Order: sequence, then C-alpha cells, then structure tokens
Amino acid sequence: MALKSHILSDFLVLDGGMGTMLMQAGMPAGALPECMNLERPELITDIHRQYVEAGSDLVVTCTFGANEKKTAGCGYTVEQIITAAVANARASGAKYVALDIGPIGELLAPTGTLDFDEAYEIFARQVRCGAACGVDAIYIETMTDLRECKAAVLAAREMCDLPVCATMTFEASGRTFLGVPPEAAALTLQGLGVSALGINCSLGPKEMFPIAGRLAAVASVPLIIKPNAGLPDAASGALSYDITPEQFAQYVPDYLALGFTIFGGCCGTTPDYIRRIRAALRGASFRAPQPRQHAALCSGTRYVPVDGVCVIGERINPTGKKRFKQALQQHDIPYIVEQGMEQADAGAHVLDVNVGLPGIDEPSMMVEVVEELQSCLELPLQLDSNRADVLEPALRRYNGVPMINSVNGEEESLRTILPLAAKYGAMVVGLTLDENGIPPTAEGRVAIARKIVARAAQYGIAPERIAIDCLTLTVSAEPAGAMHTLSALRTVKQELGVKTCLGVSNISFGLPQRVKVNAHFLAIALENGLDFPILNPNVPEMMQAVDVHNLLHQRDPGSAHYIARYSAPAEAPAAPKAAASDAPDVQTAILKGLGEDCAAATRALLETLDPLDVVSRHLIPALDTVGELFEQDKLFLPQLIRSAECAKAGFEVVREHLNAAGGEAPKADKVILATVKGDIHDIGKNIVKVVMENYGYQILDLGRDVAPETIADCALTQDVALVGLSALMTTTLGAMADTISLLRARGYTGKIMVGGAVLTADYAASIGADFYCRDAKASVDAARAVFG
Amino acid sequence: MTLTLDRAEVLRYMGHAGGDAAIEAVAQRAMDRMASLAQPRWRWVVCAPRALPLSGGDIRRHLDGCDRVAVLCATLGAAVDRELRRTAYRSMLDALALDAAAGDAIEKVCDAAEDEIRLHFGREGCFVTGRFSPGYGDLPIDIQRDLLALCDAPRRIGLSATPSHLLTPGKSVTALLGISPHPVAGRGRGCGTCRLSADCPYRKRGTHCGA
Repeated sequence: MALKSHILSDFLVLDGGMGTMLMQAGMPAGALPECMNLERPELITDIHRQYVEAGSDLVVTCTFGANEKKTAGCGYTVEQIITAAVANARASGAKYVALDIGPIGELLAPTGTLDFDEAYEIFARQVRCGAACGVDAIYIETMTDLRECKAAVLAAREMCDLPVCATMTFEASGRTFLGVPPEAAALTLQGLGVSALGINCSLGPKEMFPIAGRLAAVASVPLIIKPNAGLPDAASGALSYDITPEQFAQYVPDYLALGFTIFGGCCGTTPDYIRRIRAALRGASFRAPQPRQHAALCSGTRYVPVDGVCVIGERINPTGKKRFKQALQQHDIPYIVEQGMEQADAGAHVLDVNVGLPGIDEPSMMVEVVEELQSCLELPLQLDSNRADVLEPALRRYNGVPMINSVNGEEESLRTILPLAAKYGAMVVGLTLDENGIPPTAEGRVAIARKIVARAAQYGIAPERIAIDCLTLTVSAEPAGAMHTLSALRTVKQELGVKTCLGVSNISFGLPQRVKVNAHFLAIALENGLDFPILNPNVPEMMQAVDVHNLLHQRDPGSAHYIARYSAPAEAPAAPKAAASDAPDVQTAILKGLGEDCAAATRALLETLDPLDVVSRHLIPALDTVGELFEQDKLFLPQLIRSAECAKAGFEVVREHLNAAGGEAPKADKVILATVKGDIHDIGKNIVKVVMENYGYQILDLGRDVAPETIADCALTQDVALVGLSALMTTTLGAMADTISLLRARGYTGKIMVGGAVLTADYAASIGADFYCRDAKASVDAARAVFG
Repeated sequence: MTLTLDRAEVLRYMGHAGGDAAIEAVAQRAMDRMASLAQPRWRWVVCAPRALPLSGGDIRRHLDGCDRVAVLCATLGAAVDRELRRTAYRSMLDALALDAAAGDAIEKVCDAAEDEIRLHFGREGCFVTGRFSPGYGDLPIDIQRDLLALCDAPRRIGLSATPSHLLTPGKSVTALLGISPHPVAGRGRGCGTCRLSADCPYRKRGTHCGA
C-alpha cells in the first residue's frame, strides 16, 4: 500500500533516535553521522534493521544534516551521502524509507543572513537526490523557523510527487526558538499540502502534550508525535534521558485521544521504545483525521483565527496619498513600515499591503515590503494585487498564511489567482465584479460570488478560506448603492458559508465629515455580517464602532476590552501654551530634546521667516551646537540621538509648510548607507542615518548584509556622490574592502566614508576609503566636506 | 532565570548619560522591556583542550595549567533581535538603550552560566578560569562553528553562526573556561588582550567598555 493511503487508514510507527544509537556504538560527539553512511554502512543498516524488527513501518535515512552547508569539507558530496543512506535504509527491509531533512544550520534572514531562495535551493538538491534514489517520502523535521520549514516543504512539493511529512520542535513555553506557535505551524504546513505534520525533539511526551493539543485543534492531516526520551540529564550530557520505554509508551493513549496516528521517538529513544509503542497501539482503533479548512491567517509568530470582526488596516497603499507615493518612488521602506506599525498600535488585526504605482517594479517591491514588515511586526498581511506575477513571489516568501486581495469573477482572474491561493494555502478575497463591471443589484453580485466559490471549490479551496467583497459604492453618486451592498453581503454570508470583506471608507467620497458616514456604515455592515472591514484604524471612531459591536455581540468577555480602552477620562484639552516669550526656542528645544516644543517653535518662526532660512539659521545651527558639545564630551551619544530625533519634528513642520504652499523641498544630496555583506549589525549605521537626515541629506538606506554589487548598482544608477559603509566585525572588514574595490572598478568617482567599532583610521586609508568616521558627527563632517 | 540588570552598566554601554534624568528614564524603560523579552538559554560541555582547534598565544596562556575546558554557548533568543529591529524604526534613542540593555543582559546570563560551571567543578575540588571568547586577543573568531557544534547549540538552544561567523540570534556569546585541579587565574579579559585598545574611545575617556 502506498504511504499516502496507509496513513489515512492505519497507524504508522516510525523509528527512534539514530544519533543516540551511533553514539552508543562509539561515534564521537561533534562527528558527522551522515559520513557513517559511507564509512560504516553495515552499522547504519543494522540500526535501521533493529528498528524494523522492533516494529517500525518507516525508517528515515541517516541524512538529517546532509545539506551542502553542514557537509562542506567532510569529503563527500550531498549526493554521495544521500545515495548511500537510502541504500543503507533499504537494506534494512523497512516497509517505507523516507529521506530525512533537518534544518540547514544557519538562520534565514532577518535573524541570520541566509536568503530564502538559497535555502530553497539547498533543500531542493537534497530532495532531487532522495527522489532519484527511490525513497517513499520526504521527512522534514526539527524545524524551528516556519520560513525555513516552508522553503523545505516547497522544495519537496515542487521537486517530486512524494508525500511530505514535516515536524517542528517546540520549547515547553509552547513556541519554537524562533517564536512559532503550534497553530501557525499546522495552518501553514497543511496549507502547503503536507501529508502529515507534527512535533519532534526538544521535549519528552509529557511536556509535549499541551502543545500537541493545540496542534490537533487546527490540524486536518494525520498527526506525528516523535518525542525525546524525556528531558536530557544536564550533568551527564546527551546520552542520558529521564524516562524509560515503559513510561514513554504510557503516553500513547493520551495522544490517540487527541487524534495522533503516527508515532516515533527522537533523541534518546532506542528500539525498546519503538517496541513499546507498537505494543501500545495493538488493539487501538484508528480514527482518520477530519479534512477541514479554517478561516484563519498567521505570521511566523501569530495565529489569527477569523471568528469575529477582523480589522484590516488600509494605510499601506499609495492611492490618493502623495507622501506614500513619494516613499515608493524614493524606495523609502522605513516610511512604509512606520505606516504598518502605527496601524498595529491602533488595533488592526491584519495589514493590507498595496505597492502598485506606475514606474515601480511591483513584484520586487512587494517582496521587499512584505519581508521588512514581517521582520518587525507580528500581524498577518493581506497581499493586495490582482496580478499573479506580483502575488506569487510574495506568497512564496511570506512567513505563515496570508490573505490574497483579490480574485474576481473575470475568467482571467479566476484562472490565475485561485491556483495561487490553493498552492500556498492562502485565504482569498473575492470581488463581486467581472468582465461586465460591478452589477448594480444585490442579486447580480451574489451570482458572481457563487461563481467564485464554485470555481474555488474546483481548486480545493473551501468557502471558509474565501472572503467575498460585495463592494462599497460611493453613496453620493449611487444613492441606493449602500443598501444593495448590505443586502448582497447578508445573502452571501448566509447562503455560501463564506467570510465577508468590505472597504468601508469608499462610502463617503465627496461628502463632508466623512468619518460620520464611515463609522455609521461600518456599524450597519458589521450588523449584517461583515467579518473583514478594511479601514483606517488610526481613526478612533472606526475602532470605536468595532469595539461597541463586539461588546453588544458578547465578543468582549466581561466587557474587559471596552472598559480597559474607554474608562480613562477623556484627555483634558491642552492648557493654552505658555506665552511665546516663555516657550523654548528651537535651539533650547533641540538641546533638551523637546520634540513638541521644537515643532511649535519652528511653526512660530515660519510665520515670519522663509522656510529655508528657518532651516539654515535655526535648525541646523542648533544641531551644530549639539555636535560641538558632543565632540567636547559635554554631551554624549544618547543626547546626540535625542536631539536628532527632536529636530526631526521641526523638519517635519518645514516639510508640511512647503507642501501646503505647493512648493517642493529643495533637491537633497544623496548619501548611501549600508552595512556590508556578511554583517548584520546595523545600530551604528542607523544612528548615522538619523543624525545625517537632519542635515538635509537624502539617505538611501540599503540595510544590512548588503552585497557589493547592490551598493555599486545603487551608487551608479542614482548618481550618488557619497557612500557610507559600516562593518562591526573583523571578519566582515574584508567585505568592506571588496565593496570599495568594486565601486572603484566600476567607475564610481564619488567619495566613500567608512565606520564601525573595529575600524581604525589607518585601516580605512589602507582599503581606499576617503573618510574614516569614528562617530555619527564625523559622518556629517565628511558629508559637508563632500557637498559643501 | 530572573534577569536583574545594572543601570549604570546599561548607561555606560549607551555612551554615558551625563546625569540626564530623561536619558536615565529611557534606559530604565529599556531594561524593564529586556527583562520581560529575553529568553536566556545556555548550554556547556566539557572537553580536553586538544579536542578544540585552538590557535594563538592568548588562549594558550588562558588555559595554561588546565587539563579540561568548558565550552559555553549562551543566547537571549530571537525575540530580542525582532524587538531591536522594531524599535529602531520607532526611535533610535530607544533602540540604543535596548541594545545596551541586551548587552548587559547577555553578560548577566553568562555570569549565571559561569556560576553554574564553577559550582559544578567546585564540587569536584577543581578551579575554573574566567571566560575567554573567540575574537578576544588573537583567538580567531572562526572557531565559533566548532564551539557551537560541540554544544549542539543550533538544536539545543537555537544558536548558530553565519558564514562570516557572527552569532545568530545577535545577542549571544560563546566562551571557553579552563578547568584545573590547581588554582588558575586564566588570562583576564580586559584591555590587555584587546586588539582595539590603542584606538579605544572608552580608554581615551579613562574608562573601559566592560568586555
């Protein structure tokens, strides 16, 4: 019987520890077990055979670390190891042999420097070889990073047709080292089409049990449990664990009750443990998992079930936003991320991400913004584009399960978008429009919704994973539109079993006091069954409508959320500002780090002075004073940064003033800042950035771990006259030298400044830098020398 | 473990508060945040010095008279890195303070691990040197990988290294402690073994970085 049908109809017993058995056979700690496949094949086969004799249906090959990173320099290729390992496992007579794949051993970006695509290629090489050797399944285990696990699963699914099993390893806290909760693991992995998923390593069967329960609550495929033989005995190291085979097997009935059907052992377990498991399963009745789909989204660290109002923040979108468009054009990713953070603070549950703008490379911008948002925010994202070529790269690299916004009733859309939602397990928004536009009546929109749901079903996407958007029309132009929309919403929700979605703010275009209309329309829409309002969470009235709805619908236990949020007395109106003569001037405000006072003082100056004079005669001299005091050791780094951040408030006032007057800010001199390839320390670079921005330089922040080519490309295409490079480690100074060489080789004629803890002026000169900057102030001096 | 951070140390890592109460408050906030955010984990194993690919005179002097060496790997976990990235978008002053608090936190975690090691070998009647890390003196940083592998650190505590030998998560430490049946001093950490001592801004101010 093929493995796929086996696990849907019967228990499957896996093997136990391989490393444990090898160490018992005398393998030294720190040695590569994978090499034993070629050096001691009979020993490996014998261990597999002992497990088969003990009752294992499936053995995994001794290839946990057989990736090109871990085996580099061991004397064998990945292919040699895997080929030998599969032969050794086959020779044991096991019913099934699975290719074992463990973590690469380096962390993916952003915590590490390994790129997602590189991780994918590493796994793909292993899978190709294993499949060619005729294994029955791909077995991915001991994963702690959901994104790395996703790369492995995608490689396995795309390189072969074999069943894929994936297990992650959790701490007793209920999360992996990288913070992944079990629900997010289950949702993501089954969404990618694994045949079975579960938990292995780190803990014993007792400690794993609560985590297993959480996994089972979300899982819809057969579940794997592969614990250690209890917890390691700290004093004596890895060889000794604290529970016996008898104790281990006593947990089997508990796991059966949770619905687990695939059992094995990890570190510290031996054939005795497997024999006991096999015995414990004798006579147990098999229960097949219930296929079901969830209305849920997740990131790598947060699981968001859609069982109430789920607010989608709409602010990451250039439509009608001059400042946002500017950010996209100038590649100002930090501004975009700030929009995300603000909405997260305001209470959004999901963030919509739309970066579509003529002249922008939308596919790569989408990936970049998604990765940057995910590097510092936990909220799941909604990928907002109707182009498959924009969606797919982001879907691949997204950590978790996102929502696609959107598919619609047009044939082309259904044909290209639904397969993506199916392949990556995403939820999808379905717009009720098609080739003929938006149907004016509720019936017309419901008909399109039916069509979308039916077509989605053909791709295996259940209604739970679809959010139908019945489309909000502007009430000033379409007076009957609001009621048609609500009527359609009610019907699709009741009839189709889908979730619903609506961009709320459209309703009030062209009307005064739009918030009044928006908030009221939102309240009615929620009453009619709206699950996903897409709105601006920074507007208090909108979140208030959601909070009240939850309160009245008993979705706020004990009214706790409502009380916590609204019991504080409303803020008293600000006392009238002190008389102008008492208020701190720009210089004092910047020196003391008083941001609001700096803004107020700047505003006052703008009443009588030209904006550029305010900058050159007040803001910049104040910063210069701070810089001088810093150089004289009268002020220190924290004050320097505080003053810079405070001055930002003043510059923002000037910028608004210029925008309001219809003027453009004068063209700023461009400076590239980057932490060099291989280095991930960026605090120094970020400090330089915040200080330099205040002097009016436009900083092109290329981030950290930046390849020399990327820096050279940017310097040459953007015609930059000053490049700043940062490196914090002696091991990455080489990359700094390489970057400078490449810049010069490619004909860059501008200046280069360098900084970082281990640099010295001599070294900087020796690698061809024009300026050595010992601190942020020195970077400003270098820029002044370059730009005048 | 409960992390108790030292405000004076955190301020020193930040580059000195200069008696500014508002800055001190920022530091305190960062320390409180760090105490709830950090997930300290460590692991150590014991081996013979010759089992390690050691090079350079400084580590040889550090382990002089020691017949065993404890290899320590410690980390604050990935959540700290994430919070540092998030904070840097918000406020560089807060990010500086949080980074400093993390620096003090990993020191305190290593102190706790060192205490554990001392207690363990003290019971055997043995003596233990201080900690010596790759990158100190002339001990190359590329032995990082071997130390991590010996401790099975990627699997046991979620700590690994990049190809350029940076530890990830970022707020992490590896160190070697010599063990001897006789009293040993080791080669103390500090400016004497530091390759940056000639050009160090802390030393110019008459203080030291704390490493």
